[in-house]
Amino acid sequence: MSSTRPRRLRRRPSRTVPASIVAAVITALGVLTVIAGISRLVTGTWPSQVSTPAGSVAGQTLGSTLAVVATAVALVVGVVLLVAGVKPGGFRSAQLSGPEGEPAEQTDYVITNTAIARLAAAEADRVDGVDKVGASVAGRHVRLRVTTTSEQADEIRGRVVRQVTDTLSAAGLDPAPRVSATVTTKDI
Amino acid sequence: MRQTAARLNRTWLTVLGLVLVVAGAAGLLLATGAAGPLLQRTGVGWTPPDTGRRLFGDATATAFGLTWVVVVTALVGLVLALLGIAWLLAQIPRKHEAKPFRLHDEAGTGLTRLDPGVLADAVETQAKTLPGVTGAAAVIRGSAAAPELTLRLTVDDRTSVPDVLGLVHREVAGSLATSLDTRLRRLAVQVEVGRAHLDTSQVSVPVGGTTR
Repeated sequence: MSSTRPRRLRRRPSRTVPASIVAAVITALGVLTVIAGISRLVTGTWPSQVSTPAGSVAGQTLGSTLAVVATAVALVVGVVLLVAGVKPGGFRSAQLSGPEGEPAEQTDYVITNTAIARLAAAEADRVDGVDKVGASVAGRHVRLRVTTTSEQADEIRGRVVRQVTDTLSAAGLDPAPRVSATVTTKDI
Repeated sequence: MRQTAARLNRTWLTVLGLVLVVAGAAGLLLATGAAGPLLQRTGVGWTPPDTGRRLFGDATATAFGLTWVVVVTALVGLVLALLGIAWLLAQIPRKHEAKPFRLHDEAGTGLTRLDPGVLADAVETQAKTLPGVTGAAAVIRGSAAAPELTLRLTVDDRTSVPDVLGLVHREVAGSLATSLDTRLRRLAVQVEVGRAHLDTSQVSVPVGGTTR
């Protein structure tokens, strides 16, 4: 057996959105610099789109409002990028227990948070008295929002939580998530 | 199931974030005039520039008038643009499927190669026949001697997930292992649940008796 660590299916966010934004900004800066440089080499003068703002920036002092704002913005953007890079972020799927052994040396079973929410909502929808249901998953917590026309909100909440917990445990979620429900009685 | 550039993203976001934080903090201290007293207290023998000093002097304007400085600037811009494009392209999720399996590699007796995409298609077809499975996508990585199967399954919301996983492990992975005549190095399954829908197993029974 190889000693290399397998890449797990259960992963943390890959920070595609901030990385794409920063990459697009870097690309745009690079392209504009190349265009301005080539224009300067061909015509002998910097394009006015570069020379005008550069002139006004050069006229500013170190203590000017522009310098203070620019450095503060750089600091804030830096903190945002640092947090995006360092903060692990929540998992978007949960581990499932499943069959092991032949014919596979290693097994890795996961279920996405969206799938957990759909399983939970579908199971809650089967409970008698439930009119409408919505579900969301954050970490190991499943939250259900149930609407009913019944006056027995507490009883329905108990049945929904019990049935959804049983279903998710039976699905093999390891560890089983905590299920909570808020029940709203709809006025007739 | 597809692989993204998580490590690359996090590394460069952290590096750029650190650079901006350090540059921003230093610039803010200089711009607000707080750097002087701070440096005096810490005993560093450097006097920061006065806040009334211009950001860029005549020397900068003269430098950007020189042809070689313009060429270097354009080259730096080109490198930045290429790095940015490479980073953008790295955001496209990739399957990283295995190269064709070399089942027999003796040039003298003939070469036998097998496209893992064909195996993946067969795995998907078999997985879709399992009860409760509404969709399947497979990727085969590794080598013919140590294949790795990654499978994304979409199941109905009334399906027993452990039962489906049991069938996948026993029948789908088993068939693949048998066809390659080896154990799978790894079996990874990602389960998704399809949107709930009304199907033929649900009927409405109106009050009064007749079924529609």
